[in-house]
Formats: sequence, C-alpha cells, structure tokens
Amino acid sequence: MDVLLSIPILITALILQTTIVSRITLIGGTADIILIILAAWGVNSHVKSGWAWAVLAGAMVTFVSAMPLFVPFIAYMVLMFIARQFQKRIWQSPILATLFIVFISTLIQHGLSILVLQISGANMTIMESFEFVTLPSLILNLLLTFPIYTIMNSLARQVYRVEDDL
Amino acid sequence: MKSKFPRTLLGITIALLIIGVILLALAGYLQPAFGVAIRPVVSIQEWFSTRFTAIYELLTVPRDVTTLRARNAELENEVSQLQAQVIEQQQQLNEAEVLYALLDFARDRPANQYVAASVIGRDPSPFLHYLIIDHGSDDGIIHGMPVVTQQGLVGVVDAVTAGAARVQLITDPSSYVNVYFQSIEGEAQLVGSLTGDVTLDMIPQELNLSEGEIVLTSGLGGSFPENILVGQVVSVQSQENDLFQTALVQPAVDFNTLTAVLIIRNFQPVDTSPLIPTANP
Repeated sequence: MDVLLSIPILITALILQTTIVSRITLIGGTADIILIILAAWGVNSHVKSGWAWAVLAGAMVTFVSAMPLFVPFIAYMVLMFIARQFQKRIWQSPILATLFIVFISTLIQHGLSILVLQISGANMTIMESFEFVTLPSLILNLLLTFPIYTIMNSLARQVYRVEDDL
Repeated sequence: MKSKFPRTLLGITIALLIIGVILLALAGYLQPAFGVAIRPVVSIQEWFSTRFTAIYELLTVPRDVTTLRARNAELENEVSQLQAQVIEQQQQLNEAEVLYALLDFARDRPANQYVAASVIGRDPSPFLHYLIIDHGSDDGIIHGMPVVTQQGLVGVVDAVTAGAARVQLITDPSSYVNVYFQSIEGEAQLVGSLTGDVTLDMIPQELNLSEGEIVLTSGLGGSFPENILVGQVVSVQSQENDLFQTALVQPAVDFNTLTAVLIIRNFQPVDTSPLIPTANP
C-alpha cells in the first residue's frame, strides 16, 4: 500500500514543486520538497518502501527537469541510501536525522548539478553557484523540513497502523 | 302621575347634564379633569405594555436572531461568490489583455505561424532557467522552435511531450543566442547566467557600443529567426588587454511574470552540430 501511496504523493509534490515552490526563491535558491519528502519518509523506522519512493521520485524529476545525466535520480538514490543508514542507527531522533539528511543530500545534489553543468559548458562558477543557489536552497530546505516531516510522519503512522490492522 | 313627573324631570336633567358635559368636553373645558383621570390609566397601560413587550421579545427575539444569522450567512455567501466572480473576471481580463497583445504581435508578423501557450511551471532545479508550457507535439510543436512574446525573445523549445513542452530561456546559463545591434554594424553572442542576467560576449573591441543600444537576433547559427527583439544594452565593460568587450543587457521580456508565450511554428531550426569539428577524426 505504501508503494502505491507514493504515486499520488510524489505527483502532487512534483506539481507543487514546478508550479509554486520553484517560483518562491530566496536569492537564487528554491526549496526541493521532493527531496525533503524522501528524507522524511526514508528515515521513518516503519518504512520499507524507501527505495521504491526514491526510484519513482528520481524518474519523475529526471523526466520533467532539463538537468542532464540523471542528476536528480542519482541524488535521490544517494539520499535514500543515507536515510536507510540513519534508519538503522539513529532511530531515537528522526527529526534530527531528517534535518541532517536534507542538509547532506542538498549539498550532494547541488554539487552534482554544478559539476555536470560545468562539464556541459554552462556559464557559471562554483563559488557563484554555492552563494547564489546552494546556500539559500539549504536554508529553505531546512525550514521546510519541519512541516513536511510532521506530515510524512503522521502519514507513515496512519499507513502502518492500517497495514498492521490488516 | 305625580310620580311620573319627577322621573321625566330627572331624565331631562340627566340628558342636559350629559349634553352639557359633552359640550364642555368638546369645548375643551374638561381637559384638566380628563388629564387627571386618564393619567393613572395610561401609567398602568404603559407598565403592562412594557412588561408585555419585554416578555414578547424574550419569547420571539431568539427566533429572529436565528433568522437574521441565517440571512447574514446567506448574504455573506453571496458576497463571497460575487467577490470570487470579480476576481475570476479580473483574471480573465488580464489573460485577455495578454492574449490581445500576443495577437497584435502575431498580426504584425504575418509571415510567421504562431501557437499560443500558457506557462504552467518551471524547472524543479534552481540552477536551470526553463519553463513548462501547456502545448506539445499534438499542436505541432517540435524541438528547437523559437519562443517569443509581444515584448521579444523568450527562448527555444528544448523538449516536447504530447501535451506539454519545456522551453529553455535566454537567461539559462547554457543558453547562447547570436545577436546584432540595431544602430551600429556588429554582432555578438548573448549568454545567460545563473543569476538570470544576460550578457553580451564576443563584441569586437573596435565596436563603439553604447548604453541603450537595441539588441536583436541575427539569425546566425540557424537557431532563431532574425530581427527578434532581445533587449537593450545597460552597461559596457571594455578593457584594453581583452580581445573582446562585454556588455550587460536588460532583456525585453520580464521572465518572472511570464504567463503566456508564442511558439513560432513555421521556423525550421538548422542543426549545425554535424558541422562542428570533433576531436576524433
């Protein structure tokens, strides 16, 4: 059931991301709500479908975005790998774990993006990218982690309670 | 007989008295007396009336409040609906204004065939400046078609699905457009950037470029048709040691408020990639 649930949730998140969140900028940065959803979902101790969610999210964002070489896909898979490691180890403080995963994943995703865009000849420098895009995006992502974590955590509780009942 | 007279006299006396009283009353002579007599009655009536009204209101007002509340809610609902209608009509008016402007632009250039499309999203990555529009291959849109508005050049179609397309803006860091200047002879290359600023590169040092110069597409490279307005030169940077000058350009299009665009459907972009020499023989 939780894998099926990923389809409407991630599609809704992608629509929100492209229509609203991408327009709300802090300097040049924007939040990535799909990344935060994956982090909040993946770190939950009950969740077993994290990889499926990451694959679906990566495929969807790669399809929509012009970012070359499957950067979103790779970034989300790395995120889920880190989330699974945290799920096994620091289960006592999942909100802190989510914040840490969002922080690390944003840096990884942006690092990959900068690298790939520089290789493909885009007119940008590493410092400019970091100051203009990455730092503001980090702040927005960390701010949005709290409400999204709350929503995803309560959703996970609902889903796994239902599954336990079944 | 004896006893009848006094009765008749009494009757006549009473009648006269009554007539006298009526006449006195009609003449107004009995007002003070009436006042004294009626005042207590009026006071009593007033007291009863006040109490009755109080009791009546006590019993009936709650029903009225409920009715009024219901009516108020009904009216508020009506006001909300009217406000929503006003907002909707305002939006339709704004859309119509944009479409009229685009239509005027299309009429000015009858040689081009346009497809109008609405902007429905932006690229999820903050590093990229791309739009998503609501028309795709079903409407005849293919990769490489130029995208404009009535103000000027927007970008180029980068990817297409059946019902949507992705447009690379001229502000994207990977965007390059060949341009020329309206009033001086010379060409340059317009380059996007991460910050959304567009700069002119490859401007020969001998070119006397000044602020306010209009920049138009040159058509070189075959990616865009010529003579589409791109923007205006804001500042020029020239250093003696450099091979070329650079200049900052203010785009004609406001990319932050872009809601509708035109795709030039009958322009066939030229693929020059086979002509570009590669490292391998």
